[in-house]
Amino acid sequence: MRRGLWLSIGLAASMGIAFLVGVCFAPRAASQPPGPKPAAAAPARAATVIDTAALDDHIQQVIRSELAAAKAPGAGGPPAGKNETWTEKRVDDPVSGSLVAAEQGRQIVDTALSSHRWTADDAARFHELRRQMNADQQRELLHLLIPAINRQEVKVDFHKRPYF
Amino acid sequence: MKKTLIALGAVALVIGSVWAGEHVVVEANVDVANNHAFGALGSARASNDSVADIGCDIDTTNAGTSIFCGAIDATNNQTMFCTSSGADYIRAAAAINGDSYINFVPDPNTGDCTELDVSNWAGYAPKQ
Repeated sequence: MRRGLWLSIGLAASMGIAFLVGVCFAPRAASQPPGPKPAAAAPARAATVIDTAALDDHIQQVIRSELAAAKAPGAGGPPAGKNETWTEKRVDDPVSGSLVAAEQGRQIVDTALSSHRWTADDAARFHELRRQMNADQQRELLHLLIPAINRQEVKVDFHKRPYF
Repeated sequence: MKKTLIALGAVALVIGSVWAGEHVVVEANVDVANNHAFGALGSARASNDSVADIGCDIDTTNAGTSIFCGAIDATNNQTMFCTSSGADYIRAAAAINGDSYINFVPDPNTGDCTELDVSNWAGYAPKQ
């Protein structure tokens, strides 16, 4: 009998301690009404804030560097008061610039192949354009021109470097 | 005995002329039939005409480094070129100097160099 009393007291004490522990350590969200789980959303929102700040910083850096490049002498931006066409602006872009150079270089090569002459003026213009072309573009045009010269179908009518 | 001495003397004369500082003259030659060009830079430079020329350029752009080898044969008024961006060819071209003899072979279809020989023997006339 006495043993049963002690068991009851111990059980009651255990339940009390369990209740207190539960109140202290349970997540706060557990006390909030049902709905979307803010407890899960909270960490994600914190991570987003950090990413946004980094992204903002990166965007600002890019904008600053682009503005500085646009203001630099000889940059691609149109001079004040000058109505520059979009095509002219695009030539300053390396990719489209190389396309324009390759096209102009091809015209020079085509003219040489049809006229059977490679002149000093052709060489000088081609040399300048070649510097704006990528390796494949250069190779493609040289593969047309050099074999024709080597077959003596196109005569080189000058004697000064650069020849290409 | 006398014939042997004469023969030995002739051989000594030839060897002496070659190895005692005689300059071998090989002007810029373009051989279209055999698809190659050759010559010594010094000889081309010393040529009486202002046309003969031979050599290689090493050309570096944003797209990379290439060589352009060329020869202008003044006698036949013929020209031949080859180009390459291969590291071995660039090294070979970099070894050319004013005393060099070079021989190059272009691919007939592309103009790419398929051979570039560089000789830096003392016998070739130095560029002056």
